[in-house]
Amino acid sequence: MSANNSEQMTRAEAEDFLFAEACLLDQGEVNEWRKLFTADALYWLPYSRDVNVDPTKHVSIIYDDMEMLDERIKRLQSGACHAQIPGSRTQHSVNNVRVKTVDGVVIIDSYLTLHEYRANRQDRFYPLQTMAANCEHKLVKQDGEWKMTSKKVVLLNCDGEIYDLSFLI
Amino acid sequence: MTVERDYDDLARIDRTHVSLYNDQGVYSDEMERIFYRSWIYVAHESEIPNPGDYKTTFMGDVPVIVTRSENNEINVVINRCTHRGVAVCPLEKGNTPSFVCQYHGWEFGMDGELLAVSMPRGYNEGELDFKSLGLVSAKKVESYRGIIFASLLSVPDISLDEKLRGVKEYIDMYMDFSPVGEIVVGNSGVNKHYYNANWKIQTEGSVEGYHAPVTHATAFDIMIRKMGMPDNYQGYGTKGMDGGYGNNLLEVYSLPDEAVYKRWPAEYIDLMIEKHGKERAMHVLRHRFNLVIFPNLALLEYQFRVIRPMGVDKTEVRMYHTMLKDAPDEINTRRVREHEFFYSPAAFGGPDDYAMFDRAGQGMKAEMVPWILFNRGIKSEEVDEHGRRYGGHTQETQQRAPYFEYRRLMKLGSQS
Ligand code: FES
Ligand SMILES: [Fe+2]
Repeated sequence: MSANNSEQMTRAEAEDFLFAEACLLDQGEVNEWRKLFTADALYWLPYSRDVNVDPTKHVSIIYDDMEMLDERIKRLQSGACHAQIPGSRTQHSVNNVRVKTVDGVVIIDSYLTLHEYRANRQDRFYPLQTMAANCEHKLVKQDGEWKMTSKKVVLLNCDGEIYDLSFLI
Repeated sequence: MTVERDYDDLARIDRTHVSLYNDQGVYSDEMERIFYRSWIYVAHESEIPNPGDYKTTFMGDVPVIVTRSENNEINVVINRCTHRGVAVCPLEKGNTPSFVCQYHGWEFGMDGELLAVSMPRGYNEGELDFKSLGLVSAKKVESYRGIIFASLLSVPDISLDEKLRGVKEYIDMYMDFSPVGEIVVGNSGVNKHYYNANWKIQTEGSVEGYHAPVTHATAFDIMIRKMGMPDNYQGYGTKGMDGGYGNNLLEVYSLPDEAVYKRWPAEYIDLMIEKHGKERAMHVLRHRFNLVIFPNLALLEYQFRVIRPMGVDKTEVRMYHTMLKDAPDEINTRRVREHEFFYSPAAFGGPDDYAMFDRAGQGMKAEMVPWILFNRGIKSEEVDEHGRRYGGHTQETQQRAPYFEYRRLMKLGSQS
């Protein structure tokens, strides 16, 4: 990535981007959401709150390059991901947005509150799940569009007992 | 007077009764007869490498502390102050010179000995017997290749050596994937799952060959295309084995040499040969297996899986990722990537397993449909010279295996 300090993003623009991204996820527009990533991007949910955790030496919840993310999406859409029968409804609420630019890359830090629910389960009474996370989006401009070179989601309870995260976050 | 259950009838050779998964009374018997009186996995030595290190865990429902004392002795003590019942250690792991109960300040050594109490003058002569008031220690603690087992309330009727006899060669192989024969457990991550059904479903499910092509069709497809899993792996000596005393094994495959070179990079193979000798190195590298050490431990390719019953219908499963000491970084990173691919709560395999276990919890509420079937392949089992029974990897030798020990311990317990 060439250093290009001309690219800036205001907080309002950053919020627009994150709100649009959340909307795609929540409405199941997964293929559109996938297009927000650059070809060499990383989709990462670490298992640790330690900012220095080395993903080559520590297991992550998700550590997807785009090839693996495509496999993930294909699998989710195949109907053969049994943990997603029935599938999750999600609502991503984004707040506490801050933006900075480092070496030509825009970095957005935000808080995520995520609600998840599964209707139509045989056992009924699926409890509404609430999750909290810190997100870091790294963006560059490609052909006039903002694209994510990385999306990192650090759950508040990433190192705790987790029931199931078989949906996209 | 409670009526003694007939465990020969409830846990038959070819089927188990659904009450074993639902009944609070059976659960209490299991705690008393299996989890408090036989060899239970508690920790691996690499989790507490230095004097003063400890970790807390559970033996059945009982909270315990596994400690390493100044003189490098490993102890297992019940995490329960002998004064008024407070857990003396509130953390999962750490390092400490002693445990001081924060209710009234009684202090215990790493081996449980009561060292001091606060304001001792309030006790009159004869009111405080230091000797009898240490934390309660497990009756027996022993380890094999760093794997620590304990028995809580009585000395088991078989030695650890005897308990592991039929599966030691696989434990050895697991460790010898490291060029120096040593692993580090849990430092590189721990997956922490739970599901809403009985613990035995995970014991049975850790060596399940039959479900793999159904539940995990999509995951296996990716492993074959991207992770060096041989596409015809089922032709490579896959099998199920009953290794005795409830221990059992799913041999996923046993590769010919050419396939070993496809599966692993040459530098790693060379290093293994240099350290272990050619024959031993190739023998180890050929194998991939899931090994259950009854009742609460499973060794899978990249993890120590620890099964914790939390009542009759809830189970916590922890997967402690394992790293190979002195293996090339590339190999350990591959262990990280391949493990998280299959087993994290967002992964391509594990969540589907837990979905099935939850559904088992739901279906088994139908008590009037009483039997859980394990008869697949029962007529074609073969026996080797050590008395180990073998079946095809998608048959149910591995699921029948735990219940031989289950019956033995449940009946033994009724006599004491
Ligand atoms: S309960 Fe521990 S010192 Fe009183
Ligand atoms: Fe599975």
